[in-house]
Amino acid sequence: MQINGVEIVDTFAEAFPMWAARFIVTADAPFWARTAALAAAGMGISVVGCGCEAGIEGDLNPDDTPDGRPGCAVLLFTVSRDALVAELLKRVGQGVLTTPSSACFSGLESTQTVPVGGKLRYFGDGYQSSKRLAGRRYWRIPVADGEFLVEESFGIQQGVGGGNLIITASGVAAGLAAAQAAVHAISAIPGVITPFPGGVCRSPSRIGSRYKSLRASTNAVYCPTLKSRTETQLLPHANAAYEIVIDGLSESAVGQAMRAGLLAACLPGVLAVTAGNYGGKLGPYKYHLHELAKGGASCA
Amino acid sequence: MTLDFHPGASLDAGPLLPARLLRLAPVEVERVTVDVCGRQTALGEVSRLKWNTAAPDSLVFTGETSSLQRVAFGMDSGILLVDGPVGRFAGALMQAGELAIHGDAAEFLGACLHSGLICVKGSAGHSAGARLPGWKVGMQGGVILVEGNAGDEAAAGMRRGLLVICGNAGASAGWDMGAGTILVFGSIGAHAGMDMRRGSLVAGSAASLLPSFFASCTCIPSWLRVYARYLNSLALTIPPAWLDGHFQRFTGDHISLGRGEILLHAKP
Repeated sequence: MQINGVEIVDTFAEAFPMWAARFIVTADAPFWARTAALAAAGMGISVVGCGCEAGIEGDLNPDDTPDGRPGCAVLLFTVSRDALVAELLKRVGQGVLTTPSSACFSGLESTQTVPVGGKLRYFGDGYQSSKRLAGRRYWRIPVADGEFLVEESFGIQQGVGGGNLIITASGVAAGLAAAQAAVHAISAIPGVITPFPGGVCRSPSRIGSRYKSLRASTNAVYCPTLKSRTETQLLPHANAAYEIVIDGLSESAVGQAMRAGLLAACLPGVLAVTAGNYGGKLGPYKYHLHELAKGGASCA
Repeated sequence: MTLDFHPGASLDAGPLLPARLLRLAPVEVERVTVDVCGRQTALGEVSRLKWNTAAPDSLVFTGETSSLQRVAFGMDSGILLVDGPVGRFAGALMQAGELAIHGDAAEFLGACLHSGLICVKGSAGHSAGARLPGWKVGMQGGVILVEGNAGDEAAAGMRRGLLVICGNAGASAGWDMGAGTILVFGSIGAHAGMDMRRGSLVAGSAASLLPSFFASCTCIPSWLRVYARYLNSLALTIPPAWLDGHFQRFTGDHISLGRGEILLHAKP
């Protein structure tokens, strides 16, 4: 199958369940809301080395935030519930609480919740107070520009991690342009993030290494400089490959994002779009590229 | 179901709750006995029953509603609408549900409210959201919205919940408050927050404050914006000047625990 002359490899992306949280950061100005969100999502690139995968889902208008101020929605994914709690506390506590004028709220309606404000409140050292409204409790923690308002509990749910596209191109410029176009298209899909820097990963990894201390290492089959030395997944004329990893709140959201990214990535200079999988052994979600290209957004 | 009242004297409407009346047949409703000035009377003698098919889950009181005492007293479900003023103890001890009053409410509106929503289109008398006589604790939850003014001792003994007064409040608002929130868009009278231990009393202005309240700072209370969003969902608008304006914050009552606050809107 080809789209705009780009080969769509007959393969599938393999995704797996993750724990997910969505929280809303607000501030007096969009700049500070985004600054807080960036800090909270910062270096949430891969669970391999960061403990979580995090990103900004999107900016929010004042009409869409709990306190009527400009905001950002942040998505955070981990492999376990305990890790999610730890990462939420760390990132809201360090990234959001410290940002001027910020406040933080749960962004998921879920039957499962974890304490965030309920634990961060102790930073108030006994001076904290709370407000309970419409079944929700908010903690007011005194800080030097007033109070940090944070919701006691954040909703969590099962999400999907590891959706991916691998764009192989004749060169870096063409590959990067396609990858950025794909990330831009994916950013319009609600409920997903692309956690790598700028949404693009230039270093696909494989599990394990010849060095015992490493959990993951470079995936040599996608490295153009190793084409002459090792087995390769690249076409003969390919000189660059970029991976886009997609985490989402639902199976369908990841499917929609993959489809949007796949179609957007088929630009001049791109040779093929493929996807990473582990032969179906890693996770229950399989997104077949041909089906996505034909219009389906669900996985097999 | 609509009950058009003509009692001619004070009527105890406490037994007339939606959960009870809406499951009865019309003839059974008319046989329900109520206390009219100490005399047990069939409901059919003091009211006219109409079925309202448009709102089958609602109970509506019309007519001479000012004679009705204890409307929605202890109500634990359903919607009760009063098209006119009501007497004392309306919504007192309510556990859940909604009470809408299209008129004024007399003393002890929503006293000892546990949960639920009370909306008053007019003004409320003394002790709105306060404790019942002889009780230690006032409002413990729920929301009371008063579009007009409120009398003295609003939310006295409040432990939790939200009381919003769009007009002015009388003396001793938030007296002996343990927690909760009072929003008064107008002014608050003397002795506001007396013996307050925790909680928030926010007002447009105050004639004076007790000397046991200490000024702390000028601030923009971020939590108030969350309340504004919530009140918008109830079709009530916080004064726009409040959302972008600053408030003078006073802590107190320092004769008691002193963890409460009075926020007064700082005029530009």
